[in-house]
Amino acid sequence: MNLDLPHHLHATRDLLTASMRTHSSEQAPALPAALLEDLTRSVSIQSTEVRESHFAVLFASLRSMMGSSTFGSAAAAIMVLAVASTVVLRPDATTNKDTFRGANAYSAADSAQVILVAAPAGLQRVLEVTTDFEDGIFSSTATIDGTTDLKGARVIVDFNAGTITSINATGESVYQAELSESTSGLSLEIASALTRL
Amino acid sequence: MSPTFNEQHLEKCWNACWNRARRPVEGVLVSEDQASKIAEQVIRNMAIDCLDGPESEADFTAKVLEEASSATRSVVADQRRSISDPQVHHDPEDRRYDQNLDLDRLKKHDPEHGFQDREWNRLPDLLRPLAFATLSRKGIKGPDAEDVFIDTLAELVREREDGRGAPIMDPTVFEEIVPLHARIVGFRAVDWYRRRGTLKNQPNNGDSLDALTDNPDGPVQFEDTSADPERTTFESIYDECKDVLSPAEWDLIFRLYVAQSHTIQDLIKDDGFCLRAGIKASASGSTRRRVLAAQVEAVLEKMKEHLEN
Repeated sequence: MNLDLPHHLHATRDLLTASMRTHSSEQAPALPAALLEDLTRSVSIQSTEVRESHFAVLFASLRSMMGSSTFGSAAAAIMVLAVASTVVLRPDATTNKDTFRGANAYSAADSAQVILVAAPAGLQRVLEVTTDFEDGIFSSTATIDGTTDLKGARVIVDFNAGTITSINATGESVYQAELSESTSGLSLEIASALTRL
Repeated sequence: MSPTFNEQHLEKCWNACWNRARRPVEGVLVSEDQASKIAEQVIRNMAIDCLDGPESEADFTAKVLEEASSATRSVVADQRRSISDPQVHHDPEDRRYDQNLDLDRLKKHDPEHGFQDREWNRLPDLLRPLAFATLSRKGIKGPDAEDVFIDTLAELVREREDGRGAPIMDPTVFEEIVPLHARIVGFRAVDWYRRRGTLKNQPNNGDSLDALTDNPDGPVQFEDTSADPERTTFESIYDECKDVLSPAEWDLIFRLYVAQSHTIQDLIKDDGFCLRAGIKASASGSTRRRVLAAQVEAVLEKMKEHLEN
């Protein structure tokens, strides 16, 4: 700011200086902590190398969904289902209402997991950024092997078999459905499978 | 250039975005909670857009502000429409006129008879005092002002040659008509002076009459910028000058003057920034200062020239 500029440039400088003006007597609330946290995460995603073309197609599809008029209701449905699943899984869990995803509401050990099997590269991160599921709920693996031996309730999204399966805490398969062709409904399918647990 | 989402920049971006959402256009005011929700969603959406490709802080900020304003105007318009009350979300402190008109009715267009809704009977009385005040400041008064004013009303409904329809179809909320009309009044005032053959000594006369009269969105500067405050927002400046400056130049000017996140001294000490600015790492502080100062002047010169032409 402390540059001695020629007089004829002062007006242009002043125009820029005032261009992000805010109301003189009104203070914006603090930047939401969850938003800051999520933005930091999205930047790290940007630096992730995208190795498969599936990612671009999938991401474009999710973006398209977000831009559609139905996204509002879909997002609301995801929120309701995600919150509902939290309650079902652990009724005494107290969600942190100050964070967008209810971070730290319950630990990964006693919550359901969503395991993506043979998912397109980057899908997990896209889901983490574009949906309202709990932090740390997603994990990815190349094959279905071993996912059946895991403890705890889980949803397995198997892109090899094209199925989505809900397995409860006792290891019993309680729900299975075929994945739809459209990726835009994937978040809803996961949320729906979570509610079956 | 990758975005550098440092917390300080995000705070400033959030503040500006929230303010845009709270007051997307002069005369519109949404609740603080609603502004927060819109601002957060806009920033989230724009952050996701960053996954598509490179952005800069300036680019990100301009898009966020533009989207916040646009999204809020759409929300306000939808709410007004749903309860048939054009006064919803009108800032009670806005004393420029008594009440909003129904924009949807003003936009009703009959293929044979044009814009004939009765709401149009109320529009001249609402706009006249504002237009006359502007014209008076420009030295146009009495019957001359009335003539110019009638011309401006006609221009609101005149189909544009580029196929964008009539200007009255542009606004999303009624409050936008005021700056839109003010811009037209400004152009018609120049036109009036030209017709009188006395424009030679007036400010802001361009080279081309067409440029002044046929393109209300053109970057012609009038001495009375307060008539159209929307044109001094960062998003509008960025939109006009986006291609004039390189990403590095935007970065320089954005940090110093727009976000005001750095002083020239901060930039001089920043080896990485100086390197990107083409300054050798071994350069002394005074050399860095001299080079950066020259770059700032060059950037401002370019912007000034572009904004004035």
